Amino acid sequence: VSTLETPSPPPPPSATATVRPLAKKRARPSEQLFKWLVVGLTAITMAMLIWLITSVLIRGAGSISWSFLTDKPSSNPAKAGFNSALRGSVVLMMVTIFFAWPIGVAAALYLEKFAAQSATLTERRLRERLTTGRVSGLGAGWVHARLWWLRIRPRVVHLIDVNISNLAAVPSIIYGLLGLAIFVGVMGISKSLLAGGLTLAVLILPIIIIAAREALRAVPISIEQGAMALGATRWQAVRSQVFPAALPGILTGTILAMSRAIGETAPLIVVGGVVFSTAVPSLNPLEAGNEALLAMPLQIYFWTDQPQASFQAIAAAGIIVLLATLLVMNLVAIILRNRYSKRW
Amino acid sequence: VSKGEATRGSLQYDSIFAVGLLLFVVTLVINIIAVRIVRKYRTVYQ
Repeated sequence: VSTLETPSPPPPPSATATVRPLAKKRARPSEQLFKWLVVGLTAITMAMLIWLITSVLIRGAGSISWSFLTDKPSSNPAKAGFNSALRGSVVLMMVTIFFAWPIGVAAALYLEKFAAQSATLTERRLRERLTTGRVSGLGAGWVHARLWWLRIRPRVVHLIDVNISNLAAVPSIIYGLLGLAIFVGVMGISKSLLAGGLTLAVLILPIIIIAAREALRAVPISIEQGAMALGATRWQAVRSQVFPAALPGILTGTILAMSRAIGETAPLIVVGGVVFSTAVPSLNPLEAGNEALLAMPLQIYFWTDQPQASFQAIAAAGIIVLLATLLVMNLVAIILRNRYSKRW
Repeated sequence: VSKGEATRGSLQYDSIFAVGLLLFVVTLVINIIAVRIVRKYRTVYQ
């Protein structure tokens, strides 16, 4: 989104070209006031964040231990562990990425590199084929259908555009309802890690599409045009030049989308409910359809819901683990971006 | 309300979906308005 910047007023013409030192220039009171307002608001936000994190750290640090990560859940808070939730989240992420990544990247490639291109040449070629009478009957019908599609394509693409940006902003609980209705209700998948993973896949699909389109757009058009000038088709140019160049950006966006998915609670609650289970889910994603829906945010939610104070402590410990995971994922995204980002 | 407790076909189950649909429609309307505003005031450089 481009913002409109007001151009700074031109310097007043002065006959004597003496340069006034900058230090003497004082900001107007309103400017000063606004600056302090912005600084103050930022400070308040940061203070709240720091307060939240430290309070969690203080409450949960005592419960963090190796056995907390390897034990299964228990009704005894002293014995309860985070292992099932960790495993559940890992399997969820595998299922989510398996479904969301190929579909999301393919959709971004089509929308950005194929659907958005001018169709004048194709249109002229199709019309020529009609006028020269080389096609007839069914073939002519097919050509007409393609011409019609080229005519309505911009409108369809705009409609899809609006819907994707809308879906990226829809509250996540709606996706839970969608998953419950479609994956559990219509498709008959049990309330399992598979159903949860599919729901999260739909949830991050628009985010992946937007990030991938952004990454594809960042590759200069001259790369593609250069390849095509050398005789490559658009598909060849995109596959061998544009896509590899955009891949680091796409991966960064994917990791950020995954870190969104790993913290989602509401859709998982709607799809699977909060269940107490001492089962330890297997890490094999092919088994995901038979495993109870367990995940880090669900386990934290379950523990915070308990009345005993000792459960609050292990909930805080769970939050620390989840935060650490998120931090690592975002760190990987940043490293990836810094290492592979190119300046054209 | 729904921690997986609402049974399918019950009034509770249906009303959750009704509220969800309403929420979705509200988001959609706000987004469409936002897209209109952005398109109207966007300045195209180059």
